[in-house]
Amino acid sequence: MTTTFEDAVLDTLFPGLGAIPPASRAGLDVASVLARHGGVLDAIAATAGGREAFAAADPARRAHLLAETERGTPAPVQALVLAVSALYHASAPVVEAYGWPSRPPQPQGFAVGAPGDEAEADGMLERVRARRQIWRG
Amino acid sequence: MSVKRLEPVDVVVVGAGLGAAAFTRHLVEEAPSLSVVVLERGGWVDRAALPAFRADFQRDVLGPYATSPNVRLAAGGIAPSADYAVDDSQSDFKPLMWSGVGGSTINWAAHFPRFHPSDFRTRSLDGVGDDWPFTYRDLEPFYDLNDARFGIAGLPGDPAYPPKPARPMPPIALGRLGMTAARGFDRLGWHWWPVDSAINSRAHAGRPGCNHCGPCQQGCVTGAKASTDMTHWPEAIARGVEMRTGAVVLQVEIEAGRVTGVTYRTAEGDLFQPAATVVVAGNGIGTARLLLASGVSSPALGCNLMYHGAGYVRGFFAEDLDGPVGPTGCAIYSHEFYETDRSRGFVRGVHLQATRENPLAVQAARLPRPWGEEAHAALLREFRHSMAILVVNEDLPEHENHVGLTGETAPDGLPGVKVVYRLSDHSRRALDFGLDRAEEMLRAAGAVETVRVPLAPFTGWHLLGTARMGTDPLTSVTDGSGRVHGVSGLLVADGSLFTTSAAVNPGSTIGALATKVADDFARLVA
Ligand SMILES: Cc1cc2nc3c(=O)[nH]c(=O)nc-3n(C[C@H](O)[C@H](O)[C@H](O)COP(=O)(O)OP(=O)(O)OC[C@H]3O[C@@H](n4cnc5c(N)ncnc54)[C@H](O)[C@@H]3O)c2cc1C
Ligand code: SF4
Repeated sequence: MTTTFEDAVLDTLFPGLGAIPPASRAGLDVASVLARHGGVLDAIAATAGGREAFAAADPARRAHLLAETERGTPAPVQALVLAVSALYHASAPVVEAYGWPSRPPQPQGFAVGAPGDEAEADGMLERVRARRQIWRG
Repeated sequence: MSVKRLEPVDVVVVGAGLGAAAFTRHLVEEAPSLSVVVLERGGWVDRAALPAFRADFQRDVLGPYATSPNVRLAAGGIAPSADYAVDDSQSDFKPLMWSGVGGSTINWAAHFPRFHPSDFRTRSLDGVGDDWPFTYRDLEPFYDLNDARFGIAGLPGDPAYPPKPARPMPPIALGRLGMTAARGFDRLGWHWWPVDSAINSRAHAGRPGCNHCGPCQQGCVTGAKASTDMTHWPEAIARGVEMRTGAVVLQVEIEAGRVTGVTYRTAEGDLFQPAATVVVAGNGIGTARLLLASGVSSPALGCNLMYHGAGYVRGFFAEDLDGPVGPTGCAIYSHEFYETDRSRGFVRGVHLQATRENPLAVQAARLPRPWGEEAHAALLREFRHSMAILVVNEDLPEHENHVGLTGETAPDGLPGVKVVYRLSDHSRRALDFGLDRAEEMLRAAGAVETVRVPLAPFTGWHLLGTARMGTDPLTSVTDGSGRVHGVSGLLVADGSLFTTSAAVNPGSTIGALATKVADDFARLVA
């Protein structure tokens, strides 16, 4: 279970957009990530004047507060961003909202190539072949 | 700690990566009576356990199966790659590798270009670097042999190269991304060609064809991508080679200018393996580290580290380019600007390569501002609609760019290792020229926007030159047959031998070179 403040931070990092769910509703297992980056959460709260103040702010103000915290302590904020991003962009609802199947790459793999490709490529390669030699001996 | 002494053998090979495999596979054929033991610090890969079978595979790409050993270690490490930390804080590029049976061919992209003939004669032709102790023609039969052992997909007739033997398989399908790039090169009248790849485009040599799943650099679960644990080692082992895994070689023992064997560490304790010949193939970092730790004194040892300069331009297209499917590095390339043209303001050249997209989470992690509404907007614009043109230039040998020891003992028992590397002015000029050409090509291909990445730190794929070949013991570590100057019975057979780096991926040349080193050695002991 995440707190209102944590949800507000997550959704500031990755808000919803159209069919793309916000981070707090993407079914992420974020407990250990948030625990590991507790110091950053404290820093965000401090910038906002408290956890409640951050949670109560509108999205634009929250983004501003997060950016301000990032300016003050860039590396820890970026580490939190990347950790949440890895979970968020690998989650099934987000991957699917970006138009990609959430199944593993194997065992099905993917089909690549269209029927006319080979003939078109051959035609273009004829022009390259005609140059005979472009290497130096 | 007491060290148990084992029964002597003829040859000990350190490492089971690309060079070691090519060397050993050829040696068992040419000198079958020799007893050969291979000592590899890591283990065998269990393909069923690789990330591509898991829905959350993207998280592995960024953590435990990242291409950097330092990132893997930070994520807790993974068993089959016995990683060691490399202090890369003073290096513009971050070294990437795999430390287990197969070496870095487990996570390589399997793009398999040869060097050009001119790459072996940079001093004579262009007045930079040094000439190799032999020519393309001398190495050609070993290229051919090694190609056959890997199994290459490709197309004959490329005017950028002297003729090569027929390939047993057609190239990997270009897909929308490859076709779009090809049209761009074609519109400009520039050279392009489908890459030679060590990936089965259809079933070959008992392995299946590639099904374009995508994450080649986390290990190929189907076995379509050639790695030496499948292509070379099984045959070598069937012919009597003994492979010992989990064996970290701590020291090459040398007495009165001649090797006597190696001391290595296992979970059970330290062992001394006596041998008449020791062949080190731990890659450009692992080999230098071990030889420095063993007290080999050569002024060139560890120096002249070459990675290849690398940067790229990303192009965004209105049309769908397939997304993260197919082997990342295996589509098409251009050598329009590979050979020297002095009017460009630098000598030697650049390689341009169309690379396929990464999975969503990886693309997201690389956004300039990776959070907030802007991140969504940027990712929506690029995911399935982007292509990167990788620019690789010939990194010239520079004495100051080096592999050194840290002065502390690492957890594996060897001295800690660091890399010191700064991109040279030469490389900067060449890369900038290549980035301009990449931009031009992407526009011609229809890109609506391009973004330049002038230097890509996580491209330290190629670890070369730290035990370089040559004739002068003051400027080289080995002769042209991989024999270390001044130490009898000590050979090197990997990427650290490179005298210069060319501007293409080194795998094909490492394989050919290690095969030649084995051939020379077999003739000597016959
Ligand atoms: C992500 C990635 C992508 C790449 N893509 C391409 C590509 O598309 N095309 C290409 O040509 N090249 C590519 N490369 C580079 C290529 O894989 C390497 O150049 C090649 O594998 C190096 O061969 P090597 O024999 O020098 O060393 P490696 O293959 O790295 O093998 C070294 C082995 O030695 C072992 N070892 C080291 N020290 C010790 C010790 N003290 N005791 C015991 N064992 C030891 C290591 O565990 C390792 O298994 C890529 C590399 C990476 C990492
Ligand atoms: S894309 Fe092909 S070669 Fe790469 S991992 Fe998948 S099946 Fe193997």
